[in-house]
Amino acid sequence: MSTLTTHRTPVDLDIRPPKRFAKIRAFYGGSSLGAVVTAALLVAVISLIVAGPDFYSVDNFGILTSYIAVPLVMSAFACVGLLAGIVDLSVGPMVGVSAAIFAALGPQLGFWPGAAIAVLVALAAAAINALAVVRFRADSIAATVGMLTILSGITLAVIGSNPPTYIVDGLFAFSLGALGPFSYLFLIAVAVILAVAGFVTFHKVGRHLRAAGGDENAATRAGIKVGRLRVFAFLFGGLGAGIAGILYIGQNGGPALEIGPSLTFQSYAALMIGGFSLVRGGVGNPIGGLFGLLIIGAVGVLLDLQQINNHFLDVVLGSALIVAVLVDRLRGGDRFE
Amino acid sequence: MTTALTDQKTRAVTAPRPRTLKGDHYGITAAALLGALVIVIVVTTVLHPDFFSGRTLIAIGFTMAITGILSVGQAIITISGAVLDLSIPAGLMLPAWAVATMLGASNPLPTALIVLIGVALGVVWGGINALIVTTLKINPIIVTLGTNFIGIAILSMQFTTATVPGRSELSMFGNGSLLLPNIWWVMLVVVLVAAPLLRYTRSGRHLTATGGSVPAARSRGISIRGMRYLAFCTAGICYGIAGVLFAGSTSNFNPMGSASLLLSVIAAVILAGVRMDGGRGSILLLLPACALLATVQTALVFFGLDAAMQSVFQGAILIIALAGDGYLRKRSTR
Amino acid sequence: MHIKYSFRRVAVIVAAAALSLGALSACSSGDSGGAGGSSDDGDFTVGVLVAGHDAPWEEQQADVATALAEKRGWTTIVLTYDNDPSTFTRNVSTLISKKVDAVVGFMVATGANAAAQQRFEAAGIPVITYDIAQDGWYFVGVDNAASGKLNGEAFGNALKEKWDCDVDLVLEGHQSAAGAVDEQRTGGEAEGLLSVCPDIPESAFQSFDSDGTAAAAQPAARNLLTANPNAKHIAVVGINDINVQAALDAQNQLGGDAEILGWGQDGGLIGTDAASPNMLGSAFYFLEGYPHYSFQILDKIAAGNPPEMADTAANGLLIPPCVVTAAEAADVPSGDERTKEIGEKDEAGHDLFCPTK
Repeated sequence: MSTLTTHRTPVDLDIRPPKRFAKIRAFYGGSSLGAVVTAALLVAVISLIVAGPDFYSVDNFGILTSYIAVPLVMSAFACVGLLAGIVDLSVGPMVGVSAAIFAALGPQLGFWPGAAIAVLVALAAAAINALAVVRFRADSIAATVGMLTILSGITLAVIGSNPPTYIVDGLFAFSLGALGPFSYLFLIAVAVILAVAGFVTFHKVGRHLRAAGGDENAATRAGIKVGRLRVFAFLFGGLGAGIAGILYIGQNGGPALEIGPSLTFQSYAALMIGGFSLVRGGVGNPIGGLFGLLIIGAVGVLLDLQQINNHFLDVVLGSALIVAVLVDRLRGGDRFE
Repeated sequence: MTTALTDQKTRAVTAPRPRTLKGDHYGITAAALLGALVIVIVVTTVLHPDFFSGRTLIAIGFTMAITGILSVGQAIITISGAVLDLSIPAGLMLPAWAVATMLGASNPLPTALIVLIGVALGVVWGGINALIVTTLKINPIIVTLGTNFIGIAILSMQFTTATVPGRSELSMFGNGSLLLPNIWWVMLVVVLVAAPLLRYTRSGRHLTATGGSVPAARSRGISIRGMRYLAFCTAGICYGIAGVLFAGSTSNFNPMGSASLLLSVIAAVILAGVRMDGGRGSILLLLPACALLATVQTALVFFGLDAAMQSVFQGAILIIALAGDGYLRKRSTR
Repeated sequence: MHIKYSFRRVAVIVAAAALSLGALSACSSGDSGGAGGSSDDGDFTVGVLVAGHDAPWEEQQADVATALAEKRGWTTIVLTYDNDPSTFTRNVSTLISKKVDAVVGFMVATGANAAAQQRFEAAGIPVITYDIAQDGWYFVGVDNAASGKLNGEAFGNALKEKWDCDVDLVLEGHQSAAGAVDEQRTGGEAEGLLSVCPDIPESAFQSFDSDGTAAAAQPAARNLLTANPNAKHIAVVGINDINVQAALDAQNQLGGDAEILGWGQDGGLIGTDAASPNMLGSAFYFLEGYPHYSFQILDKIAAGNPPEMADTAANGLLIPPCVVTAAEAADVPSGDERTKEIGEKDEAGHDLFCPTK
C-alpha cells in the first residue's frame, strides 16, 4: 500500500494526455471521469446480467431518466458548493421546503407568485447558511445541520398532516414527456449540468471557485476573494434547490414531510461517486455527478424490475460510496491516516 | 430563548480574552453554556412556575442520558482527529436490537451477560469502522456514512419492530429513577470516567495528540493505526452502553428509530466546543451542553410550542451557537 | 509507474464489481418475484404497492396478496416506495410500463396520489386504495373516523366505570406524517371519548406528535406530561398502539401518583408482552388481510365486469374494525399466523380472528 503515495501527484496521471483536445478533456474532467464512467458501464453490464436484455427498453430508460431528473438539477447547483470547499447538508431539505411552499401557495396565488416565494425561501435559508459559515466562520457541515433542522420544522408547519396537492397541468404533462428514451426533464437537467460544467471549467469565476476550494490560503494570496465566492456558492445551491422543489411538484403533484434527507443523500452520494469530495474542495466535475446519479437511478430501477427489497439499494449505495472514495484516493485524492 | 443565548455569547465576546492554549476557551464555553442554561430555567420558571420541579428534572434526565453517552463517543472520535462518526444510528441500533432479541427469548440469558454482549457488539461496530478507515485510508465521515447506510439496511432486513418485555430486569432499571433517572447516573459515570482517561492517561494524551497533528504524533512514536482503533472502539463502548440503555428504556423500536439521535449528538458535541478539526475538546463540557439541549426541548413544550416550532428553535440555537463560537475563535486567533 | 497504477485501478474496479454482483445476485435469488418481462400476455397481473417497511403488516399484506393471486393463477408485481413520493412515482411508471391489469396498495404519499391517479387513468389501469380515499380509485378500508370514534366510545365507557369520567388530561398521540388517517383516527378517538364523557373540558386535550417510532414519541409525551404536573387522571388516545404505549412508558418513568390509562388503535402491541397493563384496549384492523377484500373487486375486474366506482369511505368497501379489550386481544393469533391463514383460506381477518364479532 505504501508505494501508492508515489502516485499522488496529478502530474503522474497526466503524462499521457496529448495537447490535442486538451480543452475538451478539461471539460470532461480529464482522467477524473474515467472511474465513474467505468463504474457506470459496470452497472450497465450487471443490469444486463441480472435483468436480461429487457432492462434496455425505451420504457426503462424513460423511467430511469425521469426518476433522476430532479436530483440531477439539485446536484448541478449544489456541486458548486463542494468545489468551493463548503458542504451544505441542508440543500435536500431546501428542496423539501420549496416543494411544500410551492404546493401550498401555488393553488391560491398562482404559479409564478408561488414559485417566486418558494425560491426566495430557499435562497433565504442559503443566505443564513452563508452568513453563519462565511461571515462568522462556523463549520459548514455543522451549521447546515442546524439549518436542516429548521427547514424540517418549517416543512412540517407548512404541510401539517395534510400534504397539499398541486398539479400544474402544463408542467405535469411536460414531466411525462420524453424524446425517445430520455424524459424532457432529464434533457433539461443534462443541459443544466453541461452549463455548470462549462462555467466551472472555463469561466474565470468558476476557476476561482475551484481554486478557493482547493487551497484557501493560496487562493487568498492570489487575490481571490474566497469569502465572496463561497457566499455565491451557497446562494447558487439555494437557487437550484428552490427550482428543484418546483420541478418536484411538477413531476409528483405533491410534497411530503421527509423528501429532504433522502434527496441530500442521493445527490451527495452521486457527486462523491462522480469524483467530488466532501472533505476537500476544488475537485470533481458536474458531469461525474451525472454519471453518479445514472448509477444510483439504474440500481433503483433494477430493484423495481426484480422486485428486490429497497434496502438493498442502501447496501449497494453505502458500498459504492466507500469504493468511490477509495478510487478517488488511489487516483490522487487525500489519504486519511 | 435564542436571545438569551445570544446575550450570553455577546457578553462572552466582550469579556477579556483569555490567554489560554492556542485559542482554547473552555472557561468561556462553560460559562456560556451554564449561563444559557440558567437563563432558560429562570425565564421558563418565571413564566411557568410548574417548570421548576423534580418531575421536570427526571424528564430532562431521560432526554439527555442516551444522547449524553453517545456524545462522549462522538467527542472522543472528533478529538482524535477522525472528524465525525455518522454511523451512530447503526452503532446504537445493533446492540439495542440484539439485547431486545435476547431478552425476548423464551429462556433468556442472565441480564448481566446480555448487557455485556450488547456492549461488546458496540465495540465490534466501532472496530469495523476502524478497520475500514485504517485499511482503506479514507476519511471517516465517508466510511461511517457508508457503513451506517449498510448497517441500518441490514438491520431493516432482520426486523421491523423489536419489543422489549416490560417486566425484564433491564426495563425495570431503564425506566426507574433514583432522584434522577438510573440511566442518567450511568451517563454521569461514563462522562466522569471518560474525561480523566482522555486527559490524564498516556493513551488519552496520545489520542488527543493524534487529533492535533498526525505528523507530530507520528514523530513522537505514536501508532496512528492503533489510535484509530482505540478511538473507534472506545466510542463503540459508549454506543454499546447507550444501545443497552436504549433497549432498557424504550419498550419498542424499529431500525430507523435512532436516526434522529444523530443530530442531537452532533449538536451537543458542537455546543460543548469540541473542535471539528481534532485535538481539542472537553468531555466534561458535554454535560452542560446536553443539559442545555434537553432543557430547551422540555421548556419549549411548557411554552406550548408544537413539534414544528421546536425543530425551528433547536436549529436556530445551533446555528447561533456555532456562529458565536466561530466568531470568538476568529477573534482569538487574530 | 503508469502501468502499475492502472493495474491497481483495475483491481479496485474488479473488486467493486465482485462486491456489487455478489450483493445483487444474492438478493435476486433471495426474494425476487420473478416477473421479468411485459405482462401483457393474457395473464392477469396485479401491481401491489407497499408503503414501506415500518411495521410488520406492510410486508404481510403483500404476502397475502401474492398468496391470493397464486390461488387464482394470477401474477403479482410487488413494489415498495418507502413513503417517498418520487419513488412512488417511479413505481407508478414501472407498473404502467409493465401494463399491469390492476393496482392495489397502501398509498401514503398522499401528495402524489392525484398525479398518479391521472396517469393510471390515462393508461386504463384500475386502482384499489386501502384506507386513504382518492377520487377515481376504489376505496377499500376501515372508515378511520368512524373506527376512531368506536374506540373512543369503548375507552370512554371504561373510564366512566373506573373514574366516573373524571379525567383532567387527555393526551392525543398524533403522527402527522400519516396525514388524514391520523386526523381521523386520533381525532375520532378523542371525539368518541368526549361523546361518552362530555364534561371533559376542551383545555384537557393536548397533543404530541411523533414520526411513529417510540424513540420520538416517548420524549414528546414525557415533556407534555411534565408540562401538566397537576393532572391526576390521565387518558391517552392515539393513532396506533406504539404512540399510546410511549405515553404510558413516559408516565411510568416520571413516577408520581397520577393514574394513567390508554386505549390504542391498530392492534400493533395489545395483547403482547410489550404492552403496558394500563393499555386497556385497542382495535384490530387486520391490515394484513386487506387483500381478501380488494380481491373481491379484482375478481370482477378480471371477469371483465368492473363494479361501479365507489371511491369514498361512505360508498366504498368497508372493513369492520375489531374493537377489543386487552384480555380479548390475548387470544388473537400473531400477525405471521394470521397472514398464513388468510392467505390459505381467503377469508376476512375479522371473521377468522375477531373475538368480539
